[in-house]
Amino acid sequence: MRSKLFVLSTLVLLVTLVLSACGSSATTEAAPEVATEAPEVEETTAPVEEPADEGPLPAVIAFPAEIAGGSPVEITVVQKPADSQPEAVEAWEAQVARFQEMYPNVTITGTDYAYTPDSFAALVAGNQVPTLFEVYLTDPGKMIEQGVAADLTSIFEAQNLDQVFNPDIMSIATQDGRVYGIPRFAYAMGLAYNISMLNAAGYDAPPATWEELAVMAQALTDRDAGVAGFSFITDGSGAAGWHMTTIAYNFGLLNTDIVRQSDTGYAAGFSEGPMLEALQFVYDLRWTYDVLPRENLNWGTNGEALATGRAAMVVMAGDQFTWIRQTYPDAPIDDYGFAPLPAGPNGTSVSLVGGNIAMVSAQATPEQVEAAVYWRLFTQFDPDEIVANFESGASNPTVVVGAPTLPLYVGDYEAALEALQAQYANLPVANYQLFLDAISSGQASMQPEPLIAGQDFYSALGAVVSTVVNDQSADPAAILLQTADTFQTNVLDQLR
Amino acid sequence: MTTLANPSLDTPSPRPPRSRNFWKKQALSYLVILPTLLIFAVMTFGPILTTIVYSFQEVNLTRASEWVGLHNYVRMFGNPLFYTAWKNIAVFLIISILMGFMVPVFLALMVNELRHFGRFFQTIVYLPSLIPIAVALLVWRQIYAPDGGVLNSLLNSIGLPAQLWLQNPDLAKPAIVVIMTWLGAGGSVLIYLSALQEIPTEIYEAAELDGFSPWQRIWYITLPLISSRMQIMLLLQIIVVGQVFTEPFILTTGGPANSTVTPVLELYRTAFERSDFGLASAWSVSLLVVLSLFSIVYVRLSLGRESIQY
Amino acid sequence: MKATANRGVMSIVEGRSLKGRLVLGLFFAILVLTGIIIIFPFFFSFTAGLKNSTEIYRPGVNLWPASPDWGNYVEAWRRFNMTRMFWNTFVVAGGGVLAQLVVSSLAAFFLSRLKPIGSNLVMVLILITMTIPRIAYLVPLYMTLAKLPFINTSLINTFWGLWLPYAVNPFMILVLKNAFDSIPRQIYDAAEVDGATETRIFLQFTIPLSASIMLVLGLLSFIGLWGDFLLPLLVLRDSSMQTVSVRLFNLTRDFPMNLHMAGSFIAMIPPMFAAIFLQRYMKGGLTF
Repeated sequence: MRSKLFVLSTLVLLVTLVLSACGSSATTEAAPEVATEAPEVEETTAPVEEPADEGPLPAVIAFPAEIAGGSPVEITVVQKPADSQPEAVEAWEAQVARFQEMYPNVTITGTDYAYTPDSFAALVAGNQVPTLFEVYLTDPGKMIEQGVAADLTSIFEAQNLDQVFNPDIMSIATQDGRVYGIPRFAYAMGLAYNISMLNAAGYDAPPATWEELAVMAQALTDRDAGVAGFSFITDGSGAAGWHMTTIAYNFGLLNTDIVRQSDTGYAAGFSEGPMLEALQFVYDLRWTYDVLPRENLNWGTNGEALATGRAAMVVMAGDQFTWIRQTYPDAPIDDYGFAPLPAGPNGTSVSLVGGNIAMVSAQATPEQVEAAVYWRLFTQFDPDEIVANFESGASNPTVVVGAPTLPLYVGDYEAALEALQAQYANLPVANYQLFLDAISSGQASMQPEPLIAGQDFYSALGAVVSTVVNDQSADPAAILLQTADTFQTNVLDQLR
Repeated sequence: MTTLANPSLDTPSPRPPRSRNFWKKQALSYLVILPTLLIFAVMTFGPILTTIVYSFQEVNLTRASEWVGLHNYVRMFGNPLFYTAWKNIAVFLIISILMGFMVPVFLALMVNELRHFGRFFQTIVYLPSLIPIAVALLVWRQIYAPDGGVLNSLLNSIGLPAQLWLQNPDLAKPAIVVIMTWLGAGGSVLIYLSALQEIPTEIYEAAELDGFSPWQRIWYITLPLISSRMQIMLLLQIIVVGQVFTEPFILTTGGPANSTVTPVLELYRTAFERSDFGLASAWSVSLLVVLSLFSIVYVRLSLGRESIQY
Repeated sequence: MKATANRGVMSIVEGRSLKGRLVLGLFFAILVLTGIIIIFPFFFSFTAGLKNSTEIYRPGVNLWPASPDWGNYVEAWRRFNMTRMFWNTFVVAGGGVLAQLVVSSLAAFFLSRLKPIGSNLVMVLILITMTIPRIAYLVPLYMTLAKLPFINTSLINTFWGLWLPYAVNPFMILVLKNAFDSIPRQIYDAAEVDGATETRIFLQFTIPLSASIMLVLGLLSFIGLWGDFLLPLLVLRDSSMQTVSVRLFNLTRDFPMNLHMAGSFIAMIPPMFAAIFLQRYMKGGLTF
């Protein structure tokens, strides 16, 4: 009996394996059969001689007649939506089909890999870097230094792209005059808040200073109902360091001071001064005012705390409203406002600026580089694509327009794009006016993320945050000093 | 069966004449073991040697690696986290032995006494061992949630104060050990049960006639008879706890206040978050040394018995 | 379980005395309590999966939701693509077990029956691998998988990247060697007289005679591989290839907690059936 069972189960396994071998190869191909009901704009396949100014958006890219001389090219690209969003996958596949109509020799394989600094190192080690990938704004320097990113200068110059993108962001993607990245989006940190909770507690505006925030948060905290007055990422990971840096910027920390560069090397410069003051403030938020959630939240649970009414004020990047809309479609999105971060002791509000930059693998052939860049530019600049995407928002719940992000471009193009976005916005844009005004008026100044070993710094600082919010006996000054020491020997002294 | 303990003591058969047929047979025999040897070489021995080599190098993925002597070890020993991580492991071990080691023994003893439902309880106890650990941890994280989590609500409802299970540096380790016990006790219970059932009932009958009370029988007969199993299980526990990774990785990311940082977690972060493969290899060597010490004893003890704990 | 042994430490007579009944009652009560504690997380994830996305955070002991939303289970199944998840896990664990059984039975046959010159050395090598936990050489193992020596292929993001490392199971080799050793010599002798080749002996006698132990070994390995986390986390990059534990972990960020709990509970169902099925093989415990 048992031996029969054994034979049977072995057979089942064998069949399974054989089947799976076929199954997996079939799914890796991006199904080209998907409905290609692209707008009837076959004219665009011809090289665009002159930007036609008739549409809602000026055409900035002159798409070439063919890529790689028409010979077959295969590329893998990130940003394919996950299977869990079938509508988005369908839209993505339709977009690929439209691109392939223009360039039939290009085969695009998508992956839903989402960049995180901790998983990317394994991809590099595993020789698995996609042809087109994305990194945080902290990381282009590291990618260039490690030789992971390809030089894109020639295409940029041919298309005059350096005049389209916001030069501040472009500079991060540029090294020694060579361009390595295509900016994808940029955000500035702000304070998201629950308007009705603030109103119920008698406040008609978000806090202007951090002291005010502490007091308001105290009034808003209701432990019995499980509501914390204020929340930010404290899970001890790099993301916690990212939020802590944001807060410290408002206390006067300069990104260039975090790691000071000199002829002799790099020196950690965050062990005292504004960083310590900010850390002390966080310590007080937890142990004096007692306004933080008891749980150590991560990126997702911090946003969730706002979306499920368990935090009244939350440090957040504006683009996370898109995520809230997608993940919690039932959340009362009109209840959430977005304001600049409160001003620090010297009276100014500073916003940490970050974002994503698309890069191309250094291992790609020139043909692959060309295909990958034009695929990226096609999705990002083709006017018909942008309009089609916005319009699909009506039927596709994953298309969210109107999150308070930063201008990625300059000049007419940015103005036209903003006008178009306003037309299709499905987020309550009026709720974000405080933030948008502060940014455009310069009332909130901007500061980029730390650029030297930025992610390593974040993860070292994240552990400090975890200690300060969980251990009442912790001494912020001593911990910060010790962390800076270890960071110096283990990270900075290793840089060349 | 004893051949396992000392393979070289196989019954020496008279040497056959070394004909051509003999050598052909030898070659064919090695053909049988070839896939195994190949896979072991590539998946085990190669990486083990590479770990040691890497620990003396600055490993670079896109350039050639450089020899840096003991530099990685200097950095490892100079990092306070190294001592924190190993201290955490020691504490984890002590708590897990205090809280978890005897639990399966007691459960097995009790199940063994029951005339009915023994099989039922055995299945229940074994159930958590079958759950993918990552899934179990996601559920436990919700149970332990500090704001309105179900465990705290239960405590409140019987008049006890809520606790910060995973946020309090003093509680995080015991809270994790509870999960480890929940996950692991089932397998141990089965092993102890099989040991208990190997004990001939005649011994108990004889002891009963000699006037030993049931408790005395447990103390003087049962426990000594399963003590060799217990030794092996203790070593196994040490080796398993020494490699703790998933629990802190999913539940606490090493916090609060580094109280659940473990060597494997730090190894993972050093290698796969910071691409510092040389330093990560130095950590690996430290793990290799410590864990191998216990593993050698474990393997010796297991082989010393007539059967193998699997 | 108690088919033959009709007593534990206590005799049946003692068990029927007042004191014995009290003790047994106490044991029973303790076991029931322990059982409840053990089952609680299962129950919790089941009911949490029935709540809506804010109710799940409502303070208080709300074990049963006000209006259970069974749709969450459908939603979780569909949006997490759980069919795919289970299938992947099954393929990963099944292929791993198969690889282990093939590699280990060949090695055990070599050590137990063929025993050529130098087989003791092979034995020592296998014993050495037993003493070094995989975690200690994880980093170079990953790099090996990323670029296999000699053939320069990457096994990352393939099931082979798991099957090959899983194939290494020195414990299984030893257990099987043990089992093969216990096959009566006369059987082999008779086969040799009939002129059977070693291949035939292996396939017609050794394997069938050890089938039940191989089944148990395979089941136990299967359970272990089913829940493995770290290696699949590193090797399987594409969400469409990921196993239950990796995928559910990766999904935490982008779905509400109630769907998560529903998904977790679904992920626990097959192991629960496995436990019931395994009951009959638990008799001898897990020792050989």
